[in-house]
Amino acid sequence: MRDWEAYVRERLSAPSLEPSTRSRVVEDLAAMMRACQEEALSEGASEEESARRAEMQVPDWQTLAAEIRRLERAAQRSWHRTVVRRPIGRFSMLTGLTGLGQDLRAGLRSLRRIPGYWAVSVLTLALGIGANTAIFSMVDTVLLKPLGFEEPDRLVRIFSTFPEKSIDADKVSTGDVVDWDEGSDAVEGIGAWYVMGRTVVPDKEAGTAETVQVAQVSTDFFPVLRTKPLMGRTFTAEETARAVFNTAASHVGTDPVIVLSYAAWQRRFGSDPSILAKTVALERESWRVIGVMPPEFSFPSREVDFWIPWSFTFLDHGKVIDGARLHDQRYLNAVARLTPGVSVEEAEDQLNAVSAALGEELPETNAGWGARLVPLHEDLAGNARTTLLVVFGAVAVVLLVACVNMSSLQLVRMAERQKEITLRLALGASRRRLLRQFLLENSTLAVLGGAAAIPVALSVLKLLPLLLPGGVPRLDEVAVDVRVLGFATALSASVAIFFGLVPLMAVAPSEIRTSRSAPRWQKVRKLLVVAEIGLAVALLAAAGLLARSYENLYAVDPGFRPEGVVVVPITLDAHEYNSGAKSREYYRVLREKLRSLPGVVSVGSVTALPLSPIGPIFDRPIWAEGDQPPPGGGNRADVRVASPGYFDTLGITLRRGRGLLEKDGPDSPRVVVINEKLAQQIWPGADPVGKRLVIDYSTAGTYPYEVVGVVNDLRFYGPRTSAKPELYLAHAQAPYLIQNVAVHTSGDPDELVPRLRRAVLEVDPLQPPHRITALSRLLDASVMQDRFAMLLLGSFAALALALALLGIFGVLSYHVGERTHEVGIRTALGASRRAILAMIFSLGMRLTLTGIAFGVVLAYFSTRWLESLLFAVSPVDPLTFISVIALLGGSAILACYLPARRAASVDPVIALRHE
Amino acid sequence: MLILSLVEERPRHGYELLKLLEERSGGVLKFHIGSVYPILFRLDRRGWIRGEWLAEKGSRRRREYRITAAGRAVLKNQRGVWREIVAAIDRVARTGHA
Repeated sequence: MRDWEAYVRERLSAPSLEPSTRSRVVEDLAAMMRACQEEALSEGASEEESARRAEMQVPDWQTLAAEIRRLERAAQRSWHRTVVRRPIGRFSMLTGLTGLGQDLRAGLRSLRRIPGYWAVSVLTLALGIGANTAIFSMVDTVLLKPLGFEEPDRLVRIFSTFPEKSIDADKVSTGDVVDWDEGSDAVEGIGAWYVMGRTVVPDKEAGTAETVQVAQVSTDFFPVLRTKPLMGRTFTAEETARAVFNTAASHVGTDPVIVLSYAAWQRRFGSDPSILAKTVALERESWRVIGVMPPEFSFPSREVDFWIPWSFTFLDHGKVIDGARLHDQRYLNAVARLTPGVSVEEAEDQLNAVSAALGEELPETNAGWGARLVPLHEDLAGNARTTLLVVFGAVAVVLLVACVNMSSLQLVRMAERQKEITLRLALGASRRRLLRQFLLENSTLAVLGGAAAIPVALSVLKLLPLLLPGGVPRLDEVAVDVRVLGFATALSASVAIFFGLVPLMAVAPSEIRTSRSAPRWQKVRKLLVVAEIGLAVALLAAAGLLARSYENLYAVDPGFRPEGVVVVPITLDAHEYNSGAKSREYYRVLREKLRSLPGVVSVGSVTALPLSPIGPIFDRPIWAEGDQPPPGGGNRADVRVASPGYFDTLGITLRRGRGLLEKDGPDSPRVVVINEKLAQQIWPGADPVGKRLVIDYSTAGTYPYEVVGVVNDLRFYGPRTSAKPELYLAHAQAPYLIQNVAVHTSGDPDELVPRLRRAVLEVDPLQPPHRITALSRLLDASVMQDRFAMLLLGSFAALALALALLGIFGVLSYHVGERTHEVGIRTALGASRRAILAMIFSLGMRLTLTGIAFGVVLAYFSTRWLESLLFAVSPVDPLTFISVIALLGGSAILACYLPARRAASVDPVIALRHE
Repeated sequence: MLILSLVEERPRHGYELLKLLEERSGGVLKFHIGSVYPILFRLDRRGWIRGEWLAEKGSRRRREYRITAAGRAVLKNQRGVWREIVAAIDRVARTGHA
């Protein structure tokens, strides 16, 4: 008998085995081979033959050794798993890093196999996340990000109110500012300012004459905002105190000082580092530069280039007027810093208590007037707040639709992987491990989608201000920063979880086992498509409403004709044109000069022109001569000072009497033209022409004017506003430094602009105009925000519609693929092409109609959010809803048609051959 | 399952299992030591069977395998699954009627 142990030991090479295991295996195998030889011997075989038979029992020692080694390793691993890791088994999904790499590789491999799915998913996610990130960065900048002031939460704007006349955001008077500040400890200080155009003339240092926006600010303005200058300092109390102006807003103090904006410092002085030793020639007077503000400081607006100090004191023909006592002229803007711990409401109550006391003390100017406080942040965002939130909501819905689409794709993939899943479960893969792999696959997609979203967001942010300038305030400050990237990351993560888990939950893990789950996930997929359609309908409805509203805004008759009109805003240098006669003469010469230009039909000017950003807007108390002036101000009318030709140029129609004429000069009787609204208010039902109207100029006295004409009402503040009572004085009788010169041309307004500029400089080379603009552009700008919301919502709705159609198409295509055999049999049995088409169509239409019904309900409840953005259209406008339903239904028919046609053209022979 | 069934009856040694597989299947299932041993090794490692050394003549020993409680449970489960599969295949392929 052979020594089988030695025989086996020699052949079984398994050095990795533990010695004890190895010797056991050797002994065990040897015993089996011995038993084999013994059996052969007992059957009568020779010694040699029996040994050969036993040897035959292990034909390949290498394979056997390898197999044993493998089994031993597997056993070791499983021992490790059960014994070592059992205590943290619940977390092994996160901590089992060995398998993680493997799963990640498996995930990538399985994604590589299907590049189409991969590309569509990443693209969908990149668009969805990118658009969301871009809009978020806007919302972040405009609504969330601090303003660059210290403790911005304590800053509030103050407005005057007159509840009885539903005035809720009027400007404030110098007297009110002083009394509020002194009478209340709820505010640390009140900064007041107003902005006017002033002319910078070339001095020995720098360039051409230009008209710039200058903010004239009170003592507390910079201390309230607490922004440190980039260079130098802001105004001292002493510098403010000596800054006195005359009633024509011309500086009459001594040693004037000025603070520059960063932009002005760069543009006009080439970022001169020694600027603090220099002067600026403002209105032909030298102002000493004492500071430069940092680039991010743009208060009250980006247009402001200079800040100059201002005590509230006026000099009126040598008479000193203390602004602290002036309560009736409300033309100032105010910002206050709340005392720490005081709420906006508490401060508002305190200021109102002061106002109430003032109303008793000075009933003529203050009875009925109060104060309203608005957090500065809210005020700066203005209407843009609603617009941005609506747009943000819309873009979130688009992402939701994208996720639903992804989930739907996932379901298809799950179904296609049914075999793989069943096989892996059978081979002992744990369900948890499978879930982990799916999650990993999705996370990979989400990470890729998120990464691709950043360039999408960047280009959206780069394009938006170009396409839609002035859509929202502070759009120029928007940038992708850490917060925005954090948002994008969080979004990608939640997206991965959403579209990864939803299908997994829909198809419960227990169902992964059996292939009987197919009908259930098909049902889930149909539900997803219904949801997609519903969301698309809601978005389309919102976009449709905004489009209708935009159309209505344009259809509104503003009361004037903007076509062919160019606006030339001019603010005369108060120093040079320091008398009414000079101003009167300048504008007379200018009008004549412009009228002589080729192509010019008519010329006229006015202090404040509808939509022009330049020009004083103020109202005064008025009453019919002979009546008693009512307490608290009574009726008020907006006062405009206009030249002859103004009504013709703007296409404003004369209803009665005559317009302003050249003969209405300084020495002829004072005349006034009023609008229909004012006529109706003062003389209801009567003809006002020939009657006399008294205008109260406060400290400058009250004057009666003869009404010579009535013109139509204007929507002065834009198409959303209604007309206000207005009156027009003759410029020759009330010469004003500021005029918006309107020029009506028969040619292209844009071509006229450079010629107009040249003509203005020919009259006085040191008196440049502000920006010359076509009136139609100003009108466009006034509805820019509406355009912004409409176009963005429109694109988002189109995207959602496309995704929803893709959803219908996908479900039907899959459905057709699955039913190919059935269709083949039906066709073989004589079903007509039409019947097959109807079969597929009816499924598609069932989904679509359910989706539409869901969407209409959704839209009905959600379009209310839009109400404040809509103009002359109801949030549940039936026409819009019907159009949306028709649009979606129509495009859904197209999406159904392709799969249905494929089904109808199934060749029964080919379809059945599979059987 | 087959090996578990054999050791369920009574403890058996390795070569005996080989012979029994061949005998009971009427010669349809023929294995050699090289292919059966890894199965025994694995079942042992999983704790479904347990090997014990029995002394033979001289210093030699042979290893006898007996089923464990865990092995019995697995066997019961496997028999159930097998019956289901056979029945299913039977129904589909209609082998019973053929």
